[in-house]
Amino acid sequence: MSAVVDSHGHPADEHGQHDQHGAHHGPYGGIMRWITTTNHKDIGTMYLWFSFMMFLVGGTMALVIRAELFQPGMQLVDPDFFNQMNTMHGLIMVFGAIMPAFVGFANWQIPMMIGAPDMAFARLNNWSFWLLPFAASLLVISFFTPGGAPGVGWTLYAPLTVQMGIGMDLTIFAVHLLGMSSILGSINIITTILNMRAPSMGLMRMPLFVWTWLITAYLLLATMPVLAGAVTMTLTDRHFGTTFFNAVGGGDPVLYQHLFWFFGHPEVYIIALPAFGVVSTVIPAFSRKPLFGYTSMVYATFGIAFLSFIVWAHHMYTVGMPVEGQLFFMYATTLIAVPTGVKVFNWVATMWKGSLTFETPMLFAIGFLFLFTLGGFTGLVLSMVPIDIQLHDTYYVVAHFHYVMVAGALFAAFAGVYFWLPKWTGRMYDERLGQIHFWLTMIFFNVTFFVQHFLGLAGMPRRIPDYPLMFETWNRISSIGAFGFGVSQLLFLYIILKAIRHGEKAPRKPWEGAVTLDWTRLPTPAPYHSFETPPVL
Amino acid sequence: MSNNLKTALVLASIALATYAGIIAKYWLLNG
Amino acid sequence: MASKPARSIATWAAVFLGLTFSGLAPALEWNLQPAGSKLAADIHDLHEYVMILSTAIFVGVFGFMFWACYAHRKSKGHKAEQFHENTTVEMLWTVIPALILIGIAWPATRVVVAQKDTSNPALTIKVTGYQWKWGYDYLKGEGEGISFISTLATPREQIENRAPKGENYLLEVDNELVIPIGKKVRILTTAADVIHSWWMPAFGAKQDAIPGFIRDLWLRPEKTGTFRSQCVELCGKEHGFMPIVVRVVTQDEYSKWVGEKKKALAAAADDPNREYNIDELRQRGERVYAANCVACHQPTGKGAPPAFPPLDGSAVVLGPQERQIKLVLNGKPDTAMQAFGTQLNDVELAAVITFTRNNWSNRTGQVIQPSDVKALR
Repeated sequence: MSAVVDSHGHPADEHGQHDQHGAHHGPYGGIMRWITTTNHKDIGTMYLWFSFMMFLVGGTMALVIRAELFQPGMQLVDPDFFNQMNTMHGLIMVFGAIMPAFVGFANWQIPMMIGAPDMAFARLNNWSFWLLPFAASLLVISFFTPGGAPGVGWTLYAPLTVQMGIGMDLTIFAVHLLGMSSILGSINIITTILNMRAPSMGLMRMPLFVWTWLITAYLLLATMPVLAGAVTMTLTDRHFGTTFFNAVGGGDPVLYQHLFWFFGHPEVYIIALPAFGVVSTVIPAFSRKPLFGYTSMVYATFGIAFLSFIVWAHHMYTVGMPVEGQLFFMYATTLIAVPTGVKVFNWVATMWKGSLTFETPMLFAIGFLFLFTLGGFTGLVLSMVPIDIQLHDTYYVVAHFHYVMVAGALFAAFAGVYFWLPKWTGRMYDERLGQIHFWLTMIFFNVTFFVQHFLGLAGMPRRIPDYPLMFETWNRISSIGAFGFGVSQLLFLYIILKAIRHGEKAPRKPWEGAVTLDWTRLPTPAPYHSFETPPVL
Repeated sequence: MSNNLKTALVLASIALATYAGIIAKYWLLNG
Repeated sequence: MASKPARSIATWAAVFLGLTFSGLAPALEWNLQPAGSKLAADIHDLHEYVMILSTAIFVGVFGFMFWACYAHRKSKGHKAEQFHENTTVEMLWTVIPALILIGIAWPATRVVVAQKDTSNPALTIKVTGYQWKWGYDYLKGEGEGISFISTLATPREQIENRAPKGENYLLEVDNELVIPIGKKVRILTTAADVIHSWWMPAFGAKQDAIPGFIRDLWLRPEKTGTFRSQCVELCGKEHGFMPIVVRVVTQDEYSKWVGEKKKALAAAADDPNREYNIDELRQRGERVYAANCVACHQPTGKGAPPAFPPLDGSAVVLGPQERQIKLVLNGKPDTAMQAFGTQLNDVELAAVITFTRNNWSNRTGQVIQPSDVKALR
């Protein structure tokens, strides 16, 4: 694939007076700028703000859930609405918050890190973003339809989905749009990375963040259509007389689960790999030392991606599959621990004998390393079939995935925002407040979720609005932690707004150990159009 | 046709083929 | 960590948490429920083994990391070395973890195979998941023919916080599953509507109950006692309210129970050929309604439209009898309205239909007899 920059639009005259760039600007002002922009930096910004808003919405739903679970008995909501909160919390966090956050990073950083002027398909990029608020509105509107939002869990299992009201159809439509956005975005990212790198930036000279996104984009391309198929089949089972998931017509509810998890397992790596990419950028910078084992990190990423396709049924150990199936998926799942372990060791080796400082991005990166690995170990526990028989569908699983998705992906996202904010805005955030945000988040996260391991071991099922008395104490502690965690994220909002408005002006390279092209070849803040001529490396 | 467009079409066909293939397979197999 | 406020927050939090956890230690559940069978004990052992191994590796790896955080700090003057690869070390930390994983998967394999072997049971029971209760049918072995529905027995007042909660809140049922100690019991699972899941943690047994399919699990209890658990696959509104209670008794107690249960079921078997008067039917119907209909259609009969239609003033209830009888018998596909014809007998069905037609603001004065129901099956 060619590394020559392809000129595909953006002739100079479209952008008139574009030379002075402070923190505001664009040829149009106001709202039209954001609706029609094809600039990767603008689009990255929109993804990030959208993601944060969805994080707050999804977070509020989590607080409704935790408030109801504070004590046994039904105090606040009825069981049906509780199930709706559960479902929408999951869908909004996965598809509305965490995935768009990393797409925001991809948009901002990939062109700058490879020396390209923008993404390959700038207009397509705009559409990929604007699909998201539309899809999110559908999800929110479903609450106001007769019957409310669907109460089926974010996994949307059949045949329960067939019983739901019209909110289910809106959700299916939203999932189609979200999937479309991801697929189009992936095509854009792959094409950009393969075709638009600066000359002499071979693939093995790209920053690891770019590698992780290249591989993630392929995962998205391969698995999103499978999810689309599964929800389409749900739609036709609901309205058009098909029986894909109904035994009465010769179908099988478990078929839905196979299709969903064939998407669902790679999905968690779609979320984790870009997080690994961020951490692989931040840790070397604050260790003032190159990433240890770049080549193995690339291979490990490939290994994880490939293996992610053959482990899906570890989410389904209790459906009644034959023992050979259980054994195959158990062995394949334990294998994933090998490349993941390699990555963890490589990050620690990067820190080893470095010259470490602990600004906020590094705190979150280290927090990620510690807690994501802990989540990895509970994953290992769950991968063992006999243990999973006891833990499947309990709070142990809820604890596990919140460790890897929140203490993993979300912490990496925070690290990325604090790290790159100066490059994007030209301003520094308040370091003291950033550290406070880190510690509050760290502590309250663990209070909320560590105790959920015990709940699962003790036998508390998932997705129940009320529980037997022996689970009360841990639930109380978890709920208190959840509220603390939620409030701490408002501090993050304050820190960002304060930085953007009154932050100290950032030096060209605030991070001594940063080595990628965005830091070494571009001013801070980065200009609206960068690398219009490819850099010579 | 630019290089970028060619790359994009290859990738898009992977996605479309997967989607259409799944629906077709289960439709034809299960009626 | 650099700043002072951050350090003091961390200290206070640690103190607070230390106090919280220490004070509460005895009251809390930390681990899997005590094993009531060899299989469950094997699972306990496997879990402990994986936990110890994981903790050791975790402490080792993060020992390195925290040491680096301390000793390799710039503020301590440490200068960064520039090494960034080492093939030997990479090989080692790829191969050694792979070997450790084999060391975990190997003992696990034995338990996986054992857990799947449901052959040669002494007793076979079919479990059917309904929205939102369990049906038990003793199919083969001593007790064959016994059949009953097991529903949550915790009163609504406790759930709605109008009465103090009993010790077995949400873990008690009207009819417990009774099995003898020391015998291999094969449990077949299926469902009538959506996916449920039957689980007995004390015996290491869990299996999804899938509509239209039959799966199985086995258990061999080695302790007597009452064991409690819950449905463990989201199945709709009342998913949290369909517990599972298994009472394990000695062989003699079991035989005695079988005899008594069979007699009780025969006696309670209502005579479907008799004619009943309206008061008998309304009274009986009220109890059937409370046990089967109230969760969706509400005690007020107002339901929760559109998912759960009202019965008070409803066209179906006030209209032709045949339509309502068929609806209750056969259910409404793709909704939570089940085919109660498979769960209730003709007398119960006649009673509850008569009740709905003569309660709240409905005053049809009509009486449905069991024979009317039977005719439409």
